[in-house]
Amino acid sequence: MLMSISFKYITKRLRQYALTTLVAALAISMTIAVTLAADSLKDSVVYASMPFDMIVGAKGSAAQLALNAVFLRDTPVGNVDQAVYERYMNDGRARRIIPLAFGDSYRGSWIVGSSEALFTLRPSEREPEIFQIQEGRFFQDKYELVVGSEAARRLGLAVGDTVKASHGMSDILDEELAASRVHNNHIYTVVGALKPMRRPYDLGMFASIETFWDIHGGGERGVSAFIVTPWDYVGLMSMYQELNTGSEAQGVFPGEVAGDLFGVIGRGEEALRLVSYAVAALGFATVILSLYWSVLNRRKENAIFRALGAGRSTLLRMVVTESAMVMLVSAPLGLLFGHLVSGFIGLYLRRVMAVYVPASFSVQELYILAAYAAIGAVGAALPAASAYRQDVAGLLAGE
Amino acid sequence: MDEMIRLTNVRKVYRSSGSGAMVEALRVDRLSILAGERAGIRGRSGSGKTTLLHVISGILTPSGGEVMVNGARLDTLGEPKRDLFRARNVGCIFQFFHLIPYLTAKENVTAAMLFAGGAMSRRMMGERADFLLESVGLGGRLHHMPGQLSGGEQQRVCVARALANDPPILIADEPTANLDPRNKDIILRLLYRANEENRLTLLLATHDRDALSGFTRVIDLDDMSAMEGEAAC
Ligand SMILES: Nc1ncnc2c1ncn2[C@@H]1O[C@H](COP(=O)(O)OP(=O)(O)O)[C@@H](O)[C@H]1O
Ligand SMILES: [Mg+2]
Repeated sequence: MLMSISFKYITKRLRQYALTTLVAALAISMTIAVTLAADSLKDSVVYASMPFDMIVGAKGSAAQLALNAVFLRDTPVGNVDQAVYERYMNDGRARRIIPLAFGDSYRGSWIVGSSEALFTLRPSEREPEIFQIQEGRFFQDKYELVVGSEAARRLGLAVGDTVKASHGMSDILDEELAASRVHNNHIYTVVGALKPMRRPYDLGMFASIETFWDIHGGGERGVSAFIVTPWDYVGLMSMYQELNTGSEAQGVFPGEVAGDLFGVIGRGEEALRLVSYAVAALGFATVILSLYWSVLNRRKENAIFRALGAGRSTLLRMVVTESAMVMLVSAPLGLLFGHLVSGFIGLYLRRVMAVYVPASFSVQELYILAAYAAIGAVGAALPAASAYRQDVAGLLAGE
Repeated sequence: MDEMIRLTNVRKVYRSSGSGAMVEALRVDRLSILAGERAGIRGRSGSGKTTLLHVISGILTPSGGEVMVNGARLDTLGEPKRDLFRARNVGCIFQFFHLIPYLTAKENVTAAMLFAGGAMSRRMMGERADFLLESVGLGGRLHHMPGQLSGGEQQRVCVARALANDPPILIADEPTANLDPRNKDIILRLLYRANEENRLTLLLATHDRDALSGFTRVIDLDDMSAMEGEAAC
């Protein structure tokens, strides 16, 4: 029955309450969206890094090397010491060595030079290879190109098409500018299209490393980096130690540098998180103020209820009921918005980076809702405290 | 006859917000009102009529003295108990009606029943509210909002609301000050009827001498001695 009074009060001020509820929902959704997005970004980086136990490249930025090898992003690093590459190729300490050559692209998609060993790349020995042919075959000869599913989709490439590669990695889609960098004599033929891997390599194109040596010529047989799949963990660690104490090259665990992998994105995420907290704080403040204001607004009505014999606890119950009603509506709404927004962020990441962002429910959401409920309780307690100080007789004296 | 209200050496003082000096708002050495009595409280503005009624209903606690109402020592009772006491024992009517603007006439009456903590079902409350509103001639206005009612009608809703919990005491503070003569008459008649039919103790405060013509007993706050003299009878 008391609830019905609260309910009538709310329906009477539906617009104000709708606004409060919306602001609260927005505050919840912002926090949840950023939390989810940050989590799934990390998850997706770890997921994308799985097939790459260790990347070996020239000394320099570890993040750049990992971005190159795993995400086909950033400026390509310089070639790794050829002696190091050959030593690892031949000494049998690794289960697999997969060479990678960067430096060419076609309309924004990286062309990666590699060996046939590339097609044996897998997240773990128990899992199937990530390269699976959808149509055609893997490359065998020079100038044969295998295209990732996203690259094929975006560039409208199919088996049998020809491609003029350009030197440089800029994401230039400007035909003219790109044309100026085209290796005019070197035309690739698409011989295979890959099934979607749900990994950044979906954006890439792959050719034999001999093609690269042919194009860049001069008898130089350089390799930008190579992927090392170890026999076991101990072997991996010893190789890692050896490489990083030496002066010839560096070894990188991409899963581990995932943190700084997205140096810029990471900082952006931090900023976004701060913004979301600020928005949430503003939202919560709005909710508290709105509840507080609504009580101030009806000090007189509360005084009347008191005159009719309502105790302070009864008034408190009515206020709490109201904020509970606001919460009851805004919490699920906020969850829904939050997941929608993070879904869109995931979609965006997938489109731009071909990183697979799994839809997820985070425990942090529960913390956010709990924090929100606590703040709602404070929002209810504040006006209750004001009702406590109310001068009933004084308010009844007025019109 | 039973004594319904007894005040002994009751004082209410306020500290003036400006000078900080103590201001005496009410001083009643002895006051006794019997059950079923129809008592008028008279006095110029500022003589303490409202303060006296608030002390009797437990809205205010006295600065000193004893307040006995329907067998309860209100001056020693804690606030929650006084609230409940008021809900069950005292119906209040005010000059400015004080209806809840977002509730209908009927809802205003049932709201008062909620605070008495009785075991009435929702339906019983509704039926009682209907009955009370019909008895004050508002059977056709049950679902009107206060804003849709005339001043006289609003005050009649207030009479029904004050009777909601069937209290032994009815307190009216300048109930007719904002009404035209016809509505003033209607309200006074309703209050007399409640006093006669239900043997309610009626206390009506007003600065309007005419309004007290139907009262057998008049307490004059401007004239303490008169009050003391009356209390003896
Ligand atoms: N909260 C208060 N603070 C200070 N003085 C007050 C307060 N309430 C009432 N008074 C004073 O107490 C006196 C009695 O007031 P009141 O009982 O309202 O008189 P009446 O109802 O007869 O006009 C007045 O002088 C008034 O100014
Ligand atoms: Mg007064």
